[in-house]
Amino acid sequence: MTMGRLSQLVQRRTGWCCLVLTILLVLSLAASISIGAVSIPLSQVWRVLLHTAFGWFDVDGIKEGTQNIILYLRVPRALLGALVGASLALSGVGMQAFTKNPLADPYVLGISSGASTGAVLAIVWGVVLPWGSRLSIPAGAFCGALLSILAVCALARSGGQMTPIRLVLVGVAVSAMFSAVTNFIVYTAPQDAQVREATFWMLGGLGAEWKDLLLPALLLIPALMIMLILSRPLNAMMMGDQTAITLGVNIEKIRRLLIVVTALLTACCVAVSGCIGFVGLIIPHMVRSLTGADHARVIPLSVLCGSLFLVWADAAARVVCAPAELPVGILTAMVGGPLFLWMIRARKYGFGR
Amino acid sequence: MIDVAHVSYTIGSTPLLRDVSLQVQPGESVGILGPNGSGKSTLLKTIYKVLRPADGEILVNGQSVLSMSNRELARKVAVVAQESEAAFDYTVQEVVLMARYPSKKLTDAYGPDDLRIVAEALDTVGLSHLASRGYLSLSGGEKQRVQVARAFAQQTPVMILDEPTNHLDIGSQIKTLQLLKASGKTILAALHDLSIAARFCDRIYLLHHGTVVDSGLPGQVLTGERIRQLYDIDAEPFQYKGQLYVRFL
Repeated sequence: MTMGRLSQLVQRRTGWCCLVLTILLVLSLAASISIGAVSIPLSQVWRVLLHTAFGWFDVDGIKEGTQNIILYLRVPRALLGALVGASLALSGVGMQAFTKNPLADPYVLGISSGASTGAVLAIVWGVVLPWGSRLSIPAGAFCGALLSILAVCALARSGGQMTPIRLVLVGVAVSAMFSAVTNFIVYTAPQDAQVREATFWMLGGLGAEWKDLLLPALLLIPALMIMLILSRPLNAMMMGDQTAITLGVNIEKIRRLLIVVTALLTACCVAVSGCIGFVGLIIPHMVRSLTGADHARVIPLSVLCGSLFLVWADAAARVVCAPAELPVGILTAMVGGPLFLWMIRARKYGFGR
Repeated sequence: MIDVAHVSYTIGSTPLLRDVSLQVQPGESVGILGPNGSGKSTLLKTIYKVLRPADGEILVNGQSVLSMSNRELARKVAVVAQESEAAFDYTVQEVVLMARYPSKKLTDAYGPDDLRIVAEALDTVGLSHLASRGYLSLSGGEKQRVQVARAFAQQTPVMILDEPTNHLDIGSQIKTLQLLKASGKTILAALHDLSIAARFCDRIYLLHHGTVVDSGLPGQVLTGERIRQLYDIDAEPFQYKGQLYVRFL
């Protein structure tokens, strides 16, 4: 077989994988919509969805309450899970490429700590903005996340090149400071209810309304396109800075772009769903262990696998101790940790050594 | 083809290169020799833009390298350097395919032509059988040959090599250098082995403490006296069947 055909095969195979995963994702979304404190038969889910979207079928036999649960609670929630899972996985791929470190995750530059501080400020102190409205949790988290990443970049830049290792170290320090502030606020919170709300938020959850979907959806699409276009320079950068330069990559420019894209993605995820751990770390690894390191494959497949993973994790979080609901972050760590360990032990998988 | 004029480079207050000038004509193979720390790698890095000289000018094809984008330079100059890291385990084929990046627009996919070039490059260095192996699982010498294949696949008129054979066994060293020479490319290489340099270089520059102490035909510059000055050992150049060799005493 010639090399040409071989390559087409590989590319076509990635395409097929994406198609299969997309179908799987749609089915999973439907399944996850039927699962929850009130379980709804799949047939009803499909009928309501297709009726609302295309006017197919009729929904006469289905109670209005059920329809409302599907359309206003479960659907946005499932979609948000898919969007956040995809964004976190993409951001994880970006951070691992940026730091050339397989242990990096979306939060490696202290984004989660900054976001937590912002969110906790909103929850506990009820910060009132100059124009009179209260700071909402997502807005607080988003601002906190951006503030922390800006602080990290500014501090890492001063007096030298902005190298990945410098950024990571500065990230650790900035992250510690933000955590201290967060803990201080939580510790001195006057009401237990606030502490509980803050804790729940920090563990990550996907309670969603339709309007919460807008920002992550608007961000994910261009981010994915940018990352796909960057996949080849990213590959070259994994061979070392000097090699990348001699292969014609403008590494400074690509790094800056990468930071902006991943920071915005992560900040947006954190704002709508709190700090959901492990998705951004393990999904890229899982994909890489199956497909190899080429970013042209890792990026699209990670996005789809991240979606799938979080949709199912959230479905599980709703039923594990129903009718109460677990923060999905607990579940992703509970499942993700052992999965990661198994992958490391069972491997032929050569990360980076 | 390569024109280095009065280049200096300093780290802190330590000068690593002082007023270095060097020319390589099209199609020529030029070697840079000198002891460890004499500035060979530093000089090469200023040419392929990893380091920015404090002073002086470097032209490739009559154009200043600093005025070129990395991409433009990568279409003219391929580099085999002493860097063999890989953050993730790419296959050998994927590593060599990276050479096609500078010739493509960002949104253009790699086509059958690119894969043919990669396959040929791997064939040239005799590594076709390793095409689907993980780069990280290779030996040092194999990695070095993959890098040479990548440089070939870049299809540039100029190749810069920083000790391209230091991990290779003697057979592979000679074969690799013969390949390079036979390619007809303009070559500038930092080398360690004096006899091998004498055999493959049209001209040689001797570098010592960051300055060029001598340059010329191998027979002119590789004298016992110079070798003693540079490497602090006694050596004796001799001819055998019309080839120059260096024997150490």
